[in-house]
Amino acid sequence: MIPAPFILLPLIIALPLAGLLKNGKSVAYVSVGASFISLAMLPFISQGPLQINWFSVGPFQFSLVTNVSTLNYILLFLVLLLSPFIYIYSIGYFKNRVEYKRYYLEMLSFTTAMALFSIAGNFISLFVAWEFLSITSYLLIGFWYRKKSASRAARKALTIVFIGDIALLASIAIIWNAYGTLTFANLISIPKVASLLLLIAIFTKSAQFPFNEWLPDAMEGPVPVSAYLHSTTMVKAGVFIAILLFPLFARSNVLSYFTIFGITTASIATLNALKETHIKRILAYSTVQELGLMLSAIGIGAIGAALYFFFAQAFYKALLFFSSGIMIEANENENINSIYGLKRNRLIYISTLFGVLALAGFIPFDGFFSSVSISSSFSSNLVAYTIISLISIGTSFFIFRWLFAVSKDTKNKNISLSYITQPKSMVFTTAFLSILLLLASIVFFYFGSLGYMLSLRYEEAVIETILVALGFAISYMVYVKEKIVVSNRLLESLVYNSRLFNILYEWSAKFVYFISDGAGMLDLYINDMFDWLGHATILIGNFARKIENGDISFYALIIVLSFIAMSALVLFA
Amino acid sequence: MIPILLIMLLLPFAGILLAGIIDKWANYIASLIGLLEIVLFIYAAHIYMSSGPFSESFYFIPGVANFELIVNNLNIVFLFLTTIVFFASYLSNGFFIKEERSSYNMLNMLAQSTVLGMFLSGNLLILYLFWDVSIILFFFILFHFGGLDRRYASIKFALYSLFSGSLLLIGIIMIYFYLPMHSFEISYLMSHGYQIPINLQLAIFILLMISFLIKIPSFPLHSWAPDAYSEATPGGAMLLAGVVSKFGIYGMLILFLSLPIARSYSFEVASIFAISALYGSIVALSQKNIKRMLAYLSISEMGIIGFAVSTFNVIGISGAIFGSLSHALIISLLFMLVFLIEKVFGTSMLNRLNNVIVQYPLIGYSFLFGILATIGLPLTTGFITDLLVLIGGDKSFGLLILLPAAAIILNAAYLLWTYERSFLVGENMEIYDFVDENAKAAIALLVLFIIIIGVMPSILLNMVGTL
Repeated sequence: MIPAPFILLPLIIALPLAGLLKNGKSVAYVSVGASFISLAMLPFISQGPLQINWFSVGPFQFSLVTNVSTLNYILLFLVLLLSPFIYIYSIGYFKNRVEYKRYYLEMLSFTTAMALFSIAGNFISLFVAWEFLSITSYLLIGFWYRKKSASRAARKALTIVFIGDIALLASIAIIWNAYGTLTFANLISIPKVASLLLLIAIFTKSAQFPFNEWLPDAMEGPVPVSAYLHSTTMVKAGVFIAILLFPLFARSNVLSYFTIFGITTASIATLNALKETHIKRILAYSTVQELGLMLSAIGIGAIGAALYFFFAQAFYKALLFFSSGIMIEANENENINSIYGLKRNRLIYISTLFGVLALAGFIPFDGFFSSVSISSSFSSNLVAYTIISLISIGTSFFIFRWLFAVSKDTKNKNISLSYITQPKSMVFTTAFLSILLLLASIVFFYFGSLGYMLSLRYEEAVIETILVALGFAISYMVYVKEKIVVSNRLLESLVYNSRLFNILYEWSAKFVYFISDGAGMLDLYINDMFDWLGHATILIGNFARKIENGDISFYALIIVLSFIAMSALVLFA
Repeated sequence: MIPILLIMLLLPFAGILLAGIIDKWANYIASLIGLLEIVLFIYAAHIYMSSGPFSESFYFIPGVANFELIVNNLNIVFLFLTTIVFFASYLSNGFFIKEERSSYNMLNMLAQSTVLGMFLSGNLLILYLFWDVSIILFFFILFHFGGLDRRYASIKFALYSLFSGSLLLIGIIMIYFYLPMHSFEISYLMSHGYQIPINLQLAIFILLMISFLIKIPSFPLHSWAPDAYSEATPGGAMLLAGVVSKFGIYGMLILFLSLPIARSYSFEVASIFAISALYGSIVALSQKNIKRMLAYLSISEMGIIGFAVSTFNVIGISGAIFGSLSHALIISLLFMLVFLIEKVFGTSMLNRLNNVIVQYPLIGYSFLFGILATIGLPLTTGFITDLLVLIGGDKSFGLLILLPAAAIILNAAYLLWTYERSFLVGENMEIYDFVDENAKAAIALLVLFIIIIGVMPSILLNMVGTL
């Protein structure tokens, strides 16, 4: 049995090793090797907590605690399972780009941070991993920093996420002072303020309303980074903490916020996805929506459903990003209206189709079971249930629109050729992921029928199937048969609220800048005020100097006057 | 027994003599002195760790004060940061100062001696002497070697600092007269400070707090700092922001641990510092010059550290001491980098700088590291500081921590924005100069210490102990 932190070791050792290597390809191979070794170590790690003392202040000991419970194991498994895929896919993706080394170094630190996060057993190790995630994701989103939009997106992401980081740190401070411990296992409840601050941390990390806009912008990063960010790492961190600390949230009565904000986010994201035309941004909105659904399920206590969704979503999301990467490379375009000919590569087409069906929630894919489990858990609340049903239709609608758009045929020979000549590492990882997706679906199928952790009711399953089919049918009618014409203006005014959010952010940024400008002026005034003190001293000096004019009779007058004044004082006092 | 502390204090004078004789090697001599000071510090720290606080006493003014040098849990970290930042500044001087090397390095070494003396002194009289002499030395560093607007900046600095010094002197004399045994000794003050009549305690407290607020610098008495920092020489800015600002923190620590009245006004003091932290970051946001932005960043961070001192609990005060070190290392790294940028690209204005990271990856990556350390990247000193300050602050003042927390967020926001605008995008610029080995060594030194102490904070926190 290997102690849990040792699973990070291959990744950490690979960091300096990759740093020392000159050849880009060998850096990639070292990283892939390290990720495989970590994965191979996974079955052998020992369960249970482990404490490493870090530093002490006076009588207080701060330590890094790692813990491997079932929950931790699930996340660690997902992270380490998908890492080799991402790493191998990246070899092909970076074939024509030279920056292997920087990319793999950043990726390795990102994976290390996420692996540490998955085995965090107290708030200190959680925060260390959490903050490293923020900062490495900043580096990865802004990987092509020469592009103005990329550095902007990276900065936006880190600025928003950092609000949550400091909120987390503040809540850690409050929890420490309240209970004197930061180990999850020892905490029974947390103060309400602390849980609200934790909520902010979760919402920023998992891109929930009102912090939802950084994630779609983060699409400026390389494709494998998006695949990684959206399937297992970073955004999943927030949801994972919500699941892990569920009892603490439940005891401080903040669960309803999860549901309210989660459903709001899911609706907004679905609306955005309907009209978006950027191939990766549609998937990003879909991720935001899925995270919202998970959190809303957590809010009503449906932990099993959320966890189910958490697990299922990883495979098809990674798969869809992989295939969209191939499409972008083949077409050299990121707009779905200008992307053609997915069917030219049958392998990719079928893999993508599996991913789409899973995301839409078609039986028997894992997406179906997870969305049924979510909607079943809301069956007692009619309003929420209606919204979630609408979201279901919308999801199916926009993802089929996505598929129809990218699979339209083209006569352009170059495109069909470039589909076939895509790097093998990209094509095969995509295909392999679809096999993994099927495997996961089979597992889910059995677990689903066994009623493991949650109860799927037949009527819910039937309703879900109808809803998904409805979304598919509308999408088919609108975008393939073109029988229904959607009024663009109506849609835009209703749906395209992403711009609204950005305007809101910009205005708040401008407001802060305005205040800052005012404060800058105030600072100048303060400065001037002290300068005037100096000038006043000179003025007084100039005045006082006139008394010392060297005229003896004037001095005599002063002496006499002062003598009289003093005598008067003495006499009358 | 070797008088190690006295040697620490007098070693720079040997350097001054040597630098006067061998003019050409002035900078190497200064660097050597800086290195030897670190070695001496390590030796002193070794003695301290193995046998506890110790002092050396010499004949000074009979009946009034001895020339007493001490090492205890309050000053040891400050001694450490002094030696490190001075060494880094000596190294960087090799790159920045090409003319009048010997006189500049001699002034710097003299300044190191006085700063060390200030932190080492075991009684208030000597503390005051070193405090004031160091002001004069830094005045000359600014006045003679500084930037274009150096006259204005240096005179402002001197006036503010001398005013703060005179308040300190009045306070010290009051302490002397109202302590039952009429003593200047710091240890005696700390054990018998409560015997000073309560209304006089208040007067002393107010006088000294104003003096420290100027020195730290804190809102609303900070307006000397942006000018002084941005008009100083690179080394001067590193030392002023990194080391001299810690005088106020060190003074506050002594004051808070000796006068009981401080405890009843700690909330007011904490509020001033919390506002100062937020104010510094808000003003920094709209600055057009990176140097001035860093100056306000420094004000903001010093506000956070002052806030930590006023929490009055073990974690908060440890956080303040640790934060002083962290701030000293990080802000001197950032200041050095921005002066390097000015030298290499000819400007430090935000709107004229473009694309630094591509043209000069060394500067670009180091600056990014500095920013990340400032905003509290784990495994750097910044993280430990943020954690301890927030825990200590919450313990004493509850939700008042939201003000420094907001300041930290704002600092991150504008630093990242600045980084985006000036370091990542845009057209290439002209390069006027190339960074040499001296400056590289200084960067490496600071980065190394930020990481080492961030990974193993217990090295220093164990020295501070339980207070």
